[in-house]
Amino acid sequence: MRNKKGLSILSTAIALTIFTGLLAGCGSNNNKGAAESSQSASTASASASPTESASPSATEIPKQDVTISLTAASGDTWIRPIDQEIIADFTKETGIKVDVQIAPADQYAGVLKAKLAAGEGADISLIWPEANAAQFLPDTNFLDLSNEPWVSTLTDAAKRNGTFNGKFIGWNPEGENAGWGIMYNKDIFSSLGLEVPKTFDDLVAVSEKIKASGVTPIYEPLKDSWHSGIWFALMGPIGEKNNAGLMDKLNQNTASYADVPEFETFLTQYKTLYDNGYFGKDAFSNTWDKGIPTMQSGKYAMFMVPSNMDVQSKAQYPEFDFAKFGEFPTPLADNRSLAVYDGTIIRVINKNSKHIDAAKQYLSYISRPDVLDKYYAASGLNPAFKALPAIQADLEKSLRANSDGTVNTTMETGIQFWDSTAVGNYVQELLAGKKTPKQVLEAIDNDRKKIFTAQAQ
Amino acid sequence: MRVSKLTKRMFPQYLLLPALLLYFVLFLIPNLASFYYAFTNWNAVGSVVKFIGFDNFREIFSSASGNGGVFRNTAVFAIYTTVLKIIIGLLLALLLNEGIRTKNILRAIFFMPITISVVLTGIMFSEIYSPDGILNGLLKLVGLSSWTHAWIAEPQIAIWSVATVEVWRASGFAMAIFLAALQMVPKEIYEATEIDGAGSFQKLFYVTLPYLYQAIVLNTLFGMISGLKVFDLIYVISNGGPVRSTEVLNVTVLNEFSKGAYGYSTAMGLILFLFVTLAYFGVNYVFKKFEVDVS
Amino acid sequence: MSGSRTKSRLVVEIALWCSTLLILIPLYFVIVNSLKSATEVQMMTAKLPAVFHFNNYVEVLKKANVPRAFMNSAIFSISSIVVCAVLSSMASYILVRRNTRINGMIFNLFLVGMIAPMNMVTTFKLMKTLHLINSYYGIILLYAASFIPFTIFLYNSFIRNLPTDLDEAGVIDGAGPLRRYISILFPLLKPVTATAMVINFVGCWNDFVFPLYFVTESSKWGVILLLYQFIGAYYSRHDLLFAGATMIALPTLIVYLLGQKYIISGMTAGAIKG
Repeated sequence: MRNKKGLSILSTAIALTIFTGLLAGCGSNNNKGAAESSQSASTASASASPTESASPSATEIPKQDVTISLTAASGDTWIRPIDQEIIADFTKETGIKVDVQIAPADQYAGVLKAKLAAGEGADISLIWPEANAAQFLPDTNFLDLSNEPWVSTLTDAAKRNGTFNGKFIGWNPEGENAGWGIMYNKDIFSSLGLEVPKTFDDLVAVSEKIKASGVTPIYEPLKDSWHSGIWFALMGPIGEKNNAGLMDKLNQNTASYADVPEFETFLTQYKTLYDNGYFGKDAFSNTWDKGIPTMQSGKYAMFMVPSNMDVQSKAQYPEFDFAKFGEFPTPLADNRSLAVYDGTIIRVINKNSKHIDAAKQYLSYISRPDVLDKYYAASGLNPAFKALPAIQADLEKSLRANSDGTVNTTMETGIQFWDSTAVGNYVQELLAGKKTPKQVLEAIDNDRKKIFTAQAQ
Repeated sequence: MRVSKLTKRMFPQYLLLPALLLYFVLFLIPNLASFYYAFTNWNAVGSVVKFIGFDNFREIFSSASGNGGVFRNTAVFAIYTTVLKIIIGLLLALLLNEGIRTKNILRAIFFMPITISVVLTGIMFSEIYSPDGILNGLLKLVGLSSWTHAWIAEPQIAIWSVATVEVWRASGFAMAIFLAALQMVPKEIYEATEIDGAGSFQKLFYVTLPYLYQAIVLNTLFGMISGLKVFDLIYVISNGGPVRSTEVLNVTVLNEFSKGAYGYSTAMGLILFLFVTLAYFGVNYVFKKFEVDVS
Repeated sequence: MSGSRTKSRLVVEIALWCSTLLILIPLYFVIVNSLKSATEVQMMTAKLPAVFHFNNYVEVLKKANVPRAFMNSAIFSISSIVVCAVLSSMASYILVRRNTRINGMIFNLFLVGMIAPMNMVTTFKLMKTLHLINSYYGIILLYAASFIPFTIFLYNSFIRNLPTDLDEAGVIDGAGPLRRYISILFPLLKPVTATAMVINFVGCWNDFVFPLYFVTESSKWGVILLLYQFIGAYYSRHDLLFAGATMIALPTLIVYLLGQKYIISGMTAGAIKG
């Protein structure tokens, strides 16, 4: 009896779903057809309007029935809740719908590359800025936005951030920030009478005292291997300082990592920190996500984080008191420079998009002063626009104060084909004794060589 | 073999066609065609695809690539999970075949893990295995503090820990296959041995096992194929780390794919394909040698 | 004699129930964490929540697109497992019964599908050529195509054990091949069909790769990608993540419980003897 009942429920469910599936299939096909035809009409009118009148006022633009797609990875620095709110406002005003598609972070780059290669990229995509955009072939895939009116309202850093190969391609919300440094617990430092370390030897001495007091000196999330990659990326400025023109040479493939002594020193010293037990015994289990809650417990004294961590994480960790923390540049290879970011992830328009005008309209909407006010009020970010006052949060002020004042671009954005995860994996092979510092550098060079050769053909 | 007219009429080939056509067009063509690219330098950043012979394979097997561990991990994972799934699955099936009042609920519970998404299973076990997770907590509770480990963070044991999750996940499926096969054991034969007073072990060995032969073959094949091709479970729990100690072939394939190194990634995929084929025929060969006739 | 047997059976039963803890404890862990507050969940302990936040589930349900995503997943999963089961069992029937050289080769071709890795770029190009990108049909057919090898494999080993006199009986009745397959064979295959359907359903329901690549509108995405939309939009809200994940796991459990009886009931006793 029960058997039969189960079966009939199942079969009814199956029949129903197939039926609705067919309906939905047909329905959406129809919708799509309708949307496409109405869209082509509206793009025609939209593209006609600028030629007719040079200054179309906002009220005159007819409402359009267009949907543009926007892809991003999952993660708090990609699409924020305020982005979604502003998208809703945008749709209300223009009729243009934005379909936000968020992909799993670890799949994102692969999917985007494959789709772009097949000519099926989304209308707007979020990608890494500056030289690191190279992996997505910006020249072939993304629209040159240099002549958009809002570009002139950006800060110089934001313009640099959105520029690839001389063309401005991407909008980004965030102004310059001082990049990553080592955040330290001021209470632990003062109770042990410690000073902010300026050299690697200082860092070792400080860590030794912290360790002796029963606190683990550094929270290092080795399970997220990209974090080890970031440590390395921070060595760009010191490398450049001692080897003039290094970054350019790396980007032209005329220099190799293995030839830079500072990088080898960095690797040896990073391993020393690990070998001396300053990362604690659970380092390989530690994850980035648990970093802030763990720092709160006071079991660790230092944690390498971006200098805008306090702004970024306020919403997520309302109980965490960032005022108790300061930050200093990673002093490996005796570095005291800052590896700055000109901005953050950029929004680019697909050259093959069928809705280029609507996509452009979205970017100019989110650059409008009233929209920006709303955006920054909610996000608390340092603005990327000249008209708005620059913000430096406390952590960043502390980091800048502890540096020697010199800055340069981080290798994460400044070097083509930089891949923090891949680099981090090699660095961790060093920690496990599977590679020597030299071999790590050679492995990175080898990966780059492959890409440059593939690109040359 | 010649087919009689009757067979032809009774079993017309057209019933086979829809499946073949669908599978051939949507699956076989694109995926086999991709193997051509294993011999090219196809890369997301390059505009030209050039034939480069065996260069990708040379690089995969070069000592500098450090891929040796990847092959070892894949083999360890596949063999360990297959063996344990069969042992546990068989044990559960024999115990739950009859005589237990709550056998239906128990069967349902033991089969359940495979119905849970791998992503969720992965998140679950990452936490359970963490140094201050449940597993170590339990060990400490029963006074085995010295047995505690950072289960997925110590390179020597990480692959075993991850593989154990697969055993946890899929033993119930092996059990289901064994149970289905056990229904084929004729009752009379079973009862006959009971009257003879054959001990449970002997009964299991001499009577039941031959009938389970097909199920063992099936489970071994499924276990080896899915074990060699494992991907998402490892990706979620450890992503191949720490220090590549849990990296298996399919993880490398995806990592290279994400980097845009399509040629290299496909070459790796082709090697995996050859391995699985080899394992398949190997398993078949071994079982053919020991085939037991029950009919 | 029989007394000691019941006793030993009871011991076995108790031992089995104890070992279910191995399965139930991890599940408890997820459910307990899905009921914690956003801050409490960050440390992910096995402790009971200070306050039970059933609200997490309500919050998940309130998000736009949740019913839509469930609907999409149901359409993808149910349609593809049905298509796959029907096509595969028909094909297996012929493959096993009409054991010719060609059919042996065809079986090996299907086998390749169980072994071969998928290449997303070439599949993408093919789907684009066939205009199957962003269509329900395309995704359903692709799922069905990728499930066929495993399903045929499963069917083959069971059909092989079915006595042939059943087919012959049908022929005497004058039934055509299709009718014989529908009225005689397919009902006998319930256990395998149920097994294949449950396994394929789970695979399809939990897959996010096909929609991620081959669907270009998020309104046609399924539940797993919805979960990621969530992580993206609401930071690392692990409380919601666990609640969402638990909800997403429910349908697979229900399908399993519905199919469970058939899976293990084995071949229908009346039809086969020995």
